[in-house]
Amino acid sequence: MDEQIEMSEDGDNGPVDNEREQGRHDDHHHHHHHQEAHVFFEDVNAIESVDFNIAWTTTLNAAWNEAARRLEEPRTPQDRLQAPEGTDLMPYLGLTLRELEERKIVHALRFQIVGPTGGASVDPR
Amino acid sequence: MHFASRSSVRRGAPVSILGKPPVQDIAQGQAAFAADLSRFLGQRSIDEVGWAKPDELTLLVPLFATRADGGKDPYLLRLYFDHYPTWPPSALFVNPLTVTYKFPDDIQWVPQADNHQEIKFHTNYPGGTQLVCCSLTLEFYKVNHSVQEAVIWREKEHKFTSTIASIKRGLVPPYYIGRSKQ
Repeated sequence: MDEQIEMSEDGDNGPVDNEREQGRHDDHHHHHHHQEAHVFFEDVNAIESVDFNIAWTTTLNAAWNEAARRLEEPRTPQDRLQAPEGTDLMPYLGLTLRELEERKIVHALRFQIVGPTGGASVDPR
Repeated sequence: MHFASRSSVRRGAPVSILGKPPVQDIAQGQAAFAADLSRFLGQRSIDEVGWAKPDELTLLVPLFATRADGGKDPYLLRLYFDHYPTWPPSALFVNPLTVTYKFPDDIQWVPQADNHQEIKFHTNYPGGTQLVCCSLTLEFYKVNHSVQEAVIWREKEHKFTSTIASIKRGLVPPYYIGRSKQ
């Protein structure tokens, strides 16, 4: 996949370059002008979480890969991604973080890594 | 870990996760609940995350269901850990005034979700109980519900946070369709 990934190693506490600071000064209400998004991933099965900065042009899929690397929990085919309120985000893995926000698919860049469950589909009632 | 064969987990068969009914273990439940809750909270207090722990086995979790029009309906989920972590926590939607569930008086406090493959909410499941129909709740095994082996609760792979996340799947459009009604 041809994706550009730009990350600071130390998350939100990393150094802020002059260009980014200038962007904040110009329009601090429009965080899309920031070079990087701040994302938060929670592995609900392991009760582990990680947050870091990453380029707005990164796809959700690539951000998830990076989260899995930092969590040291390799992704499995059964894993899925959802928003904290429960919305399934698997149809949107190819969108960039910027697109996710602009299309209002997510309210915040917080994501939960979840596994499959069962029940309703085999309910005989 | 031994799992029951697919043919033996049909409704009515006298088996569940470990080939036997769920067994209560209060001491183990308290210890595991305390450890997992502490791990989840980290440096935060339980008040900071908006939850309540009225006793050593109970967790109250306010949840907001999202209607199709974007509006929110509040619910209160009560998790109980007397079989945890061998078994998932008990999960019931309760009346926020009484923190209990009584059918049919309290069905408005139970959400309705339709057409989700993995979650459904029953206000009066056969046997006279509310059932959050999902393989990560205790009641699911107490009623000996059919389940695929791949999605069964596993003590080493799941936590109570897995239960909450799975329940939330039924609280968003297009699945959430409002409060339960008579």
